[in-house]
Amino acid sequence: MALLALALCLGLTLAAPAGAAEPIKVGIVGPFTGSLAHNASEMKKGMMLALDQINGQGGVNGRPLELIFGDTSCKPANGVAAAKKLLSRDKVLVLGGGYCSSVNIATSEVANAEKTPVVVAIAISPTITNRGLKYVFRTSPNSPMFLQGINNWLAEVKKPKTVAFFMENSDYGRDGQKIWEAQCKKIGAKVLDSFYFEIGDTDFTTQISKLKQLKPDVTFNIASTTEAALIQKQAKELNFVTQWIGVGGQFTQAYFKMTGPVSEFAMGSSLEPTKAMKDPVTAAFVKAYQKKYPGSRPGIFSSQGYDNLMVIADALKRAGKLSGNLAKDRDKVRDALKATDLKLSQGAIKFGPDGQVFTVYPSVVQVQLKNCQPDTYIIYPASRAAAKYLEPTPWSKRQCK
Amino acid sequence: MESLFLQQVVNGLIVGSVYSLIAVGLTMIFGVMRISNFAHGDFSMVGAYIAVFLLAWVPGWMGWVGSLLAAAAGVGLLGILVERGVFRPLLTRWTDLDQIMVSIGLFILMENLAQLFFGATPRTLSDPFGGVTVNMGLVSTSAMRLLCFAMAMVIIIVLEVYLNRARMGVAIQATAQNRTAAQLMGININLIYAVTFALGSALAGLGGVLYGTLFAIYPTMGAIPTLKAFVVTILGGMGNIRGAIFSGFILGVAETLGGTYISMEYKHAIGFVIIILVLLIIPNGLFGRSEK
Amino acid sequence: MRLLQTQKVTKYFGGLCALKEVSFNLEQGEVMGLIGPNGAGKTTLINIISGAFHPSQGKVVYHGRDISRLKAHQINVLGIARTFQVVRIFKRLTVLENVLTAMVDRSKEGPWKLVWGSFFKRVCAFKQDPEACATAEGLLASVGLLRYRDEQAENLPYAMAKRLEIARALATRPKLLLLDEPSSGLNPAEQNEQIKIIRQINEQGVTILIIEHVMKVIMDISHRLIVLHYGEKIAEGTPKEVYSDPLVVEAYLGGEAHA
Ligand SMILES: Nc1ncnc2c1ncn2[C@@H]1O[C@H](COP(=O)(O)OP(=O)(O)OP(=O)(O)O)[C@@H](O)[C@H]1O
Ligand SMILES: [Mg+2]
Repeated sequence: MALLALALCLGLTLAAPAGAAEPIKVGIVGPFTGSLAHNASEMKKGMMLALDQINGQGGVNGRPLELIFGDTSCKPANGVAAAKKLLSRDKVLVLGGGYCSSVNIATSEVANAEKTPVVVAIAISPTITNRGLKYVFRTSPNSPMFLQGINNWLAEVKKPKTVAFFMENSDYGRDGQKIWEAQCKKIGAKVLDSFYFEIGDTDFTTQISKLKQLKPDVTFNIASTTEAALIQKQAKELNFVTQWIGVGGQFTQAYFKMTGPVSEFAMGSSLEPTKAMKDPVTAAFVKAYQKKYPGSRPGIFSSQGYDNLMVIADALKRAGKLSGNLAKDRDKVRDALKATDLKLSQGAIKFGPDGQVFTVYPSVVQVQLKNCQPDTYIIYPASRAAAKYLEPTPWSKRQCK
Repeated sequence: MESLFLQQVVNGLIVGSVYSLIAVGLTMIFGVMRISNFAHGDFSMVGAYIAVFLLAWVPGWMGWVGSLLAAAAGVGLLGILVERGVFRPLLTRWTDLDQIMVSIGLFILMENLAQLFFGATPRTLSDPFGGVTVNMGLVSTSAMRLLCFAMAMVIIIVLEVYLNRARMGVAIQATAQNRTAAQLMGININLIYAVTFALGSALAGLGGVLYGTLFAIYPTMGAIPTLKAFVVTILGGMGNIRGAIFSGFILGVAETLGGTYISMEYKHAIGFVIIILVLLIIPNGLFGRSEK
Repeated sequence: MRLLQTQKVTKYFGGLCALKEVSFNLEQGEVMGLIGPNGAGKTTLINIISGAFHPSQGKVVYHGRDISRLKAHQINVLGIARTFQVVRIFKRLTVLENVLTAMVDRSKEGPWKLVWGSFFKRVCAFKQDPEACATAEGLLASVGLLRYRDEQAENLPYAMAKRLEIARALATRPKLLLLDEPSSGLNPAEQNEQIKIIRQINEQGVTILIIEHVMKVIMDISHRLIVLHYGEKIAEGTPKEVYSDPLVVEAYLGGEAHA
């Protein structure tokens, strides 16, 4: 296995055992070395699972799939070199994988110029799909879509009348606020006030005391782990109750260690496949993954890698018998990609006219207690929900300490 | 009915009491030794980590009270070592700039060592009250916050008594007010330096436990206390102990009220605005600085 | 009996020679005047005797012992106290506390006792310590400051602040008192008071070395005088002898002798 992985990293060809039939070549780029190598290997593990499944069922239209890997090290220059090599030397039919927005902005442009379809797996910058490039697709949500789940939940379930913002004073916080503010306007929720804090702040009592006077139904709070945890604790100390909503990245081990049960009812979003076991497709993915890699737990990158290759394989299948003329076949695959309509580990996958998937968005999670132990549970959408949404209760009614 | 104004005053007084406690140590060390110790908040960080480990070992009240004692003793001892090992050998030779560079170096070193030994994960101290909150009609807060406030007050009062009544305290004050005269009146300056640095560091350590109880503990947590302590020290007059005590509360309340009624975004700037105003109008700080 | 002797005391500040091989003897019980023009090195000499500076060369011998390498507080403990040309009182302590400060470190108990013992054994009591307070009050009375006992020192009139320095120095129980211009900045009435006080102190057996520009004061109270000029001792003797010394007249008294 280690040797195999090594071979893959070096960009060597991995032939399927099918034998006679000529394999279909797919190029996969990613930062397989460097500081992101771990995450890229997660993506690859997801892809290898997909490859097993595809070739195990006889490949695509009777031909096995062959993956050729190119390392980008998360550097645009390396990415462009890797992509060019895959396109012109290996003559791959389609380019998949990808991680790091800056690299994918460059590689997708290279592929587009070569009229080769490219399906980006992980990068989130809106730029990748908003330049009108005809051969570019993306199976990952872009950054605004990361907040889409919460937006849908607000409109369909919570319907708050009043909201307040309590944000980290950074692009992360301010950009998030813009998106949520627009949604609040749409659903008629009144923004009572907006406060900001600096990264590294520890005392939030001033802002929380003021929030307490405003009594917002929902308080949006984009913050990193430490600040988010301190805010939860201080809200309790000041006897303030609201529906806290964040991005979700703050819900780490350290966060729960700091807050204990105090973070109950806080919300965010999550793409963790293991949280969405109610969804049969996701659950099947998780099971298959754990069978292939015993003892490991699929994360968001594995799930995105898996879906990415599945989407490519599906398009190849629908493209039908290949002519052998590379340019014609690449166009055919692109047309097939446009018509993608699948249910995969992240959810439904359909591309908009810009090639951006618009049906995948993170699930909405809420911190709930089991035996007074806090953890996140998906509460929305209903198809994936593992628990029901709970209204925050007054502090005096909460049992766990 | 709750009062936002009163609530903010209470919030300010609680945070202010910890600012005072930490700043008093800083201003004492400055007053007596003319050292601006930019690593002061990192002594608080060490105190906080002492509490983390002690509380992991002995949870509950015993652990918390023990943490205060252990932090005072441990950080006080560290202060003696640093004074003897780092500051004293340089004391006669260096310029102000040298000693500022040395203390900044110390601050970087301490942060990095903490990162190495304790890891970057933030930690909190468990609340021996079990998170009991106190709702007093007009204002609400937690029992633990009130206790931290009370502890800070008790420590400040004990310090005041010590400085004003005990022989050593009087000698420290005399040295702070006029180093040369004190020396020529038979006061052993080196002893005073050691005691002052130990006492100042112990106060930082105690402040660190309270700060860590109120907020969180991580290797770079010392930066904010250092910053606030400098604001308080300048506001109260460099080296002026009573000035620092009052200024800590003034800063705490000014920040919360300013944040509420002026602008939340400039909460941190409020301290600096006050400093600039005070220095323009009363260059020696609100309560006058100590002279050489 | 000889109390103090300086042996060729020399002091450089960088390239500047503030004192050049100054030698003189101080007998027990006498009042020695130290005069000379501005910048002559008078204060520097007192600084060296009291241990504020170490001499660059030469020795200070006190009771037969070389004290020129001791620290200031050790010299003070041996019985040498001083006042300052520019008053250095502890401004934010009361008058009584200023005097008590000088009695802080007289205990033979060692530093450990000083740090803890004073606090726990006599909790809060130092300022109410009847013995210490009685001594301090006695000293304040002897310089006429008793009525300012609880006044913040920074509020004292200048003349009183100068006296407070004397009382504070006396609180260390000196055998030798070094006075640096004790009556500068005082009006004639205050100067007379000051002379009386200094004389009383001397009558109680304290040897005095006094720097003074005010002629009346120096002529009145000193038994002997030495004259410094550009760091060198140029004359020594009774006031009468010194004032008739042509070298002194030329170097220092020039205009003033005829005034
Ligand atoms: N700490 C010091 N560093 C450098 N030079 C000094 C220092 N103290 C004194 N001097 C210099 O030494 C010389 C003697 O100064 P000193 O103060 O002893 O004079 P003085 O006789 O007391 O004069 P005055 O009558 O003005 O008080 C002067 O030139 C002074 O500038
Ligand atoms: Mg002089």
